[in-house]
Amino acid sequence: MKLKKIAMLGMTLALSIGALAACGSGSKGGGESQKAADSANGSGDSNEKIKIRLLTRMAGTSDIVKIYNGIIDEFKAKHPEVEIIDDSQGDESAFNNILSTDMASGKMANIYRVQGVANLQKYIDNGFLLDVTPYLEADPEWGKSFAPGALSYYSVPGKEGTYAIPMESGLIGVYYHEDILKEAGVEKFPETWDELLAAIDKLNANGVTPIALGESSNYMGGHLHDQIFYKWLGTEAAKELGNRSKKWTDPDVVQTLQYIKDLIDAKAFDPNAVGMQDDVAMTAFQNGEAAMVVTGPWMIGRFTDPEKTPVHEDIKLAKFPYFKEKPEYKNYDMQVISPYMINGKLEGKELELTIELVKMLTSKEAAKKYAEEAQFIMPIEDVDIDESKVTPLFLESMKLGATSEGIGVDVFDFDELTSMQDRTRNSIMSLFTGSSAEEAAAEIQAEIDSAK
Amino acid sequence: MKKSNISMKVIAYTFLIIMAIIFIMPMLFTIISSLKTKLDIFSDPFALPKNPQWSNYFIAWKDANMSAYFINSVIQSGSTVILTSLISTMAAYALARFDFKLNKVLVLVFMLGMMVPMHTILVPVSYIIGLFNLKNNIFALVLVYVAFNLPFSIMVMITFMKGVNRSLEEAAIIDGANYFQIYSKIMIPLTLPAISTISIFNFMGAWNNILFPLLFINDKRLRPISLGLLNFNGERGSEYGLMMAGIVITVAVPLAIYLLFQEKVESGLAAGAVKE
Amino acid sequence: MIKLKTTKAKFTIFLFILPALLLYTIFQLIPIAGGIYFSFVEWDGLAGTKLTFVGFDNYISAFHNKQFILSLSNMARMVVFSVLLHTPIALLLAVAVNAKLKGYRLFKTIFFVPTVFPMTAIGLMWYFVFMPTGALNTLLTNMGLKQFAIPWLVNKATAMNTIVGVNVWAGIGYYMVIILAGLTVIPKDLYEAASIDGANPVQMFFNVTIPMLKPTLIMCIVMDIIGSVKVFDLVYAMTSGGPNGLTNLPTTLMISEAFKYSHYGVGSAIGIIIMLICLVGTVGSNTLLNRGRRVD
Repeated sequence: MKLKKIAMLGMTLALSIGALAACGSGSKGGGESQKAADSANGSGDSNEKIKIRLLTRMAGTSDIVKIYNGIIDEFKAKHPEVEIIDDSQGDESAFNNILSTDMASGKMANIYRVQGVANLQKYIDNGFLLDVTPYLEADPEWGKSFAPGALSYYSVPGKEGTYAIPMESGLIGVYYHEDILKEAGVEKFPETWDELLAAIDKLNANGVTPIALGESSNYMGGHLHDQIFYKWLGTEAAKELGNRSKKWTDPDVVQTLQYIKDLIDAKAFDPNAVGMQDDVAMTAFQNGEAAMVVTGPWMIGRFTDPEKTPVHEDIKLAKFPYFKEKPEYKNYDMQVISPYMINGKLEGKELELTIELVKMLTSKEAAKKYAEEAQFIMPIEDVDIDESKVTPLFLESMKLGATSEGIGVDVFDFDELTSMQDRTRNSIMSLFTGSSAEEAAAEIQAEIDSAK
Repeated sequence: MKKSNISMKVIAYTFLIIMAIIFIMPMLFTIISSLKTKLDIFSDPFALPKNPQWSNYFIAWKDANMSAYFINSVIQSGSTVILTSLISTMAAYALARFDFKLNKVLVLVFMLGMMVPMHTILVPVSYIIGLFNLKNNIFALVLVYVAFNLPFSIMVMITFMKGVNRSLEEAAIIDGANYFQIYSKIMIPLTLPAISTISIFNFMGAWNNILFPLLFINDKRLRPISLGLLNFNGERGSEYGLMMAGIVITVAVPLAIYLLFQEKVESGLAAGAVKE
Repeated sequence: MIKLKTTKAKFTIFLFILPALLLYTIFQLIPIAGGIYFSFVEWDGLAGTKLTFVGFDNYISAFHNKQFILSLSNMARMVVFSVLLHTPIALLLAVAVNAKLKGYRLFKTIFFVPTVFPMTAIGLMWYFVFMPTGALNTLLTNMGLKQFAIPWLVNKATAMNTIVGVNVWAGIGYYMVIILAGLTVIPKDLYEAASIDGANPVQMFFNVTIPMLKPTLIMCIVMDIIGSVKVFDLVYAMTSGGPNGLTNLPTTLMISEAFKYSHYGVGSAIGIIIMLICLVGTVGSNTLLNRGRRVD
């Protein structure tokens, strides 16, 4: 009886594996016929509506998204024959989810975005990315408007060309309450690391949390480490980690983690920081309960809104302190850079229209509108901004951002391992729960070694 | 004899009351907090709200989209229940009443499904969903739920239908009724208690599930409330009063169903015990 | 059973089964086979990249992954403590409720209520109790016990145990109801006979109730093992497996491996391992607890 049951089970399994194999080969055929159908659409049937699909992070109700939607509407009015499908997601995991499905099915959106640079290689190899160089050159007025640093960020190691249009930039720096620092006896914002440690002691003596940090949202510790990393080793070192000519366990890299440990030991953060979410920490800063916070220009809107930030008049911005031993990296900064990528498989009219939409989204007028109405910075030069329409904090952020000599986003952006974002941020978080810098470094390096 | 009875009563009551407190405390905290301002919640967790913030509920319901999540859940769980009941009773009728070659094999194959955890099939299912472009497709999500509910539902229905008296069917056949008429006019009415049991089980399962929508529904506007609650927490997690109101809204429907059909829900969920 | 004679009759009956069979094949049978298949190949989720057969590599790399080992030990803790606490507490509650003291229905309702709640709601509810500035720590601080106010869900010693505790809390009512159903079928005369023999309530509990309940209790334990292996929502809502993988279970790790890092092979391998653990847990505990006796 038992044997019979097992035999039957085996049979069903064999049957279903057969079915799967059929399904697998069927899928290939399906893909092929899909392609055939697509090209048939492209060549013959001009009545068929062209569809442009977007997959960006522009979703929600913020002013930034309103402007974005305005441009999309403008495009729709101009080209009523085109159908726009906007799959954009504000939520990071939902966004990644769609992106990975698109990748798995090979049907990328016309305009999309990928975070990071190192992993772009496989996109290029699979034809998912368009080299935009010819289009930048064909339209110099548009093509030459981008900040060179931002554009060159998307020249992928080992590949010719530029593979994205940068659409957002901004310095990640230290926002601080000038008055609170002064009350604690810190007259000038600390320019160097040692001055920062001294300021932390004074702030603690005065009963204020020195740096607001909500490590339960572990990007906050990650961003802090990015800052320290670029100031200690420059941006090239991140690329070396990515191409494996450098290791996380190298003493100079371990030192960058040790600096975070030093901050923790100096009581730079709320003792509950590790269990706190980001907006709890932000709220503490906005209420004047913490003196400093490391964040980017996306927070300026909130910091200058009296309703959301009771203590807002004296908020100022500075670059993260540099190390006296490493003056050469004083202006090596962490900035956010976000791109629009264009699907490399587009052809004909669809490609033309897609490029046109990207140009509209990244024009000088768009940049001006974004800056003045939403305090959102595009890496576009010589935008004529009406200074009366923006806040001093925003202007300061633009000005400081323009002085960067080296730009890096997150250190893991140069690493092709997709798990490195979580791995590095998680290991940095473990510094807050008792791990040593060496242990954290070893943990990150182990991830790399096991992937080989 | 009497003395020991009384002392047993005291022991039983003490135990029940202590356990009841452990069970009620977190729920009470959530309900009280849902009517407080953010600042009042943690100053004294169990103090009653001074002036109840009903606005927490309005904001959670409207601005934070709990209403949309709620409706999604009703649609998704509701159609799952209806479809599962229909499909499983049909299959169970055939398997319980008719003798044909593959009958036993089929029963065995359906039983196989009860032993497979969701996680085992996630990658292939999501591959299939991607292959047929079924992401963000509510109907596909419902079909996945139904497929996942089928083994258990069919097993329960087979057991029940085997117990239904034959004579009615035989009389119907003599009257010239066909199989479909027997199924719909005799089998379904006679097995309604069992159908309601599997319906409760399947409804609760679909209402509370987050794994399938997490992977197959990216569009936040289409997500069910159990998952929407987590999105809500991601967006406004520091507004504790709102979050508490969101939690109360999320548990309201299962709670109401339970309080209305207490015995039925208890036996329905306990029936899952045969799932083993 | 009715014998099917004509082809037409056979076809009609086939139509009754067809919808179920179709759905079941597409979304269960093929995926089961597919899950096994994917666990032996490497695929990074890019269309066009080849699926390469790698044998047991995915399983080997899973077991070389410290995070996976940690998740297994977390799972073991979840299983052991759930089994040790659920059934005994549920048994005591069921016996107490079954005494039909005044208000017993209310007590039963209170204990069962968490069973009908979504685990995400339960997880968040408790998250606000256990977070660093949450209800528990506020209470401790107000009572002057500030030294005990620790970040429960972050601290290495408490994070996983806290989640296990919440899982125990959430499940007791369910097992209580199952045991209550078992209690009602114990014949009354057994108790009467025992009481004539002069047995006190405690003796009756051990000599009548427990032996009579044995099949029910075994079923509870087996279900509890499988249920604890499959816990996902609760962890996902409370910590998402963090901090730094400290509270990962195989189920949560599988989701990140497959759907976050696009390691579909390793993810599938973990999925298969979860299934094997469930199977071994069921069969193993059944034989162990039954000691050769068959219980249906």
